[in-house]
Amino acid sequence: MAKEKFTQKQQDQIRRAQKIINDECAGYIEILTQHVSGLRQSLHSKDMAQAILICHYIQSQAGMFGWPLATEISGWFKRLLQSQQKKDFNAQVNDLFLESFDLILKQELKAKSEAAVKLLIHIEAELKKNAIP
Amino acid sequence: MNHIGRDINKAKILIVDDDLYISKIMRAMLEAFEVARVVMVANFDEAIITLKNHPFDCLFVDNMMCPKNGLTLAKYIRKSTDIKLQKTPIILYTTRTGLQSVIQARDAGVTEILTKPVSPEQLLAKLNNALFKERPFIATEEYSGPDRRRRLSDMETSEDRRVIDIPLPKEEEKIILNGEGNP
Repeated sequence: MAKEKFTQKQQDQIRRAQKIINDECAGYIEILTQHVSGLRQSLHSKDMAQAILICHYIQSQAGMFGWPLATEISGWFKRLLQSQQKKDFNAQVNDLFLESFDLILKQELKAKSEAAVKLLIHIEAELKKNAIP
Repeated sequence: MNHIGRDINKAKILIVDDDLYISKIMRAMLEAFEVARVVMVANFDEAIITLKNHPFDCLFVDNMMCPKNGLTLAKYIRKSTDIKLQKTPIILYTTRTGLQSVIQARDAGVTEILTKPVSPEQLLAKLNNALFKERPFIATEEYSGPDRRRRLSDMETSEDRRVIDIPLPKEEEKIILNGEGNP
């Protein structure tokens, strides 16, 4: 996209808006940690609707704050849980996703990196092993 | 030109997102740009009820809403019999930026796509485009929304823009070439 020319007033407004985003980005890891904890509890109690809702929030929010890997994985997991609502609950695969989120949080895996690629390959291999489409 | 002229401070904006946290951040950013009013609703149904009673200058719509997503809302609005509502600019925010997703959004009548993570510069630029760089509105059986081709003058100002030439449906091509559908 072409670079926009902003007036001085608009540049000041952009700085104010950027501060809002920066402040939220800085605190997002705590929110993501809470989401993963909630997800674990929901799956433990087999509350699928709540687990799907949490995945939905991660998918929506993580993308906003620069955690695209969490967005991608939560999207996969949401679809998987939706299919598990109709078919069988698969604790082994669900644990794999929880471990993935733990790793993302522990290593702060936000974007494309060697570790992120490894994680995605690992998830894909495990899913194939478990015959999950 | 619309009724707010060139003044973003007069703009009334509706945010449609089922994630209140994201809605509030979007609202805070829009308030930093000193828009007149920002209203938040949580889903398709709330949006439709609100839009029936209150006109807005622009909609910010999350693509990932459940159960009906942002594209469904955009298509519904573009088929509205309320002409003012039908032509309201729609900015879709999404993490999906692949060609297929862009084409889907374009074909649903979305005015602008805002990609996550949202940057304030991008947000302001898209809002300015939606409010002040109006494109001819096309209303046919198969498509309703802003002209899917940008004006040449817009292209010329975009030095580093990549133009993807996607053929238009014949009906729309005819309307544009004949100059029909312009407000």
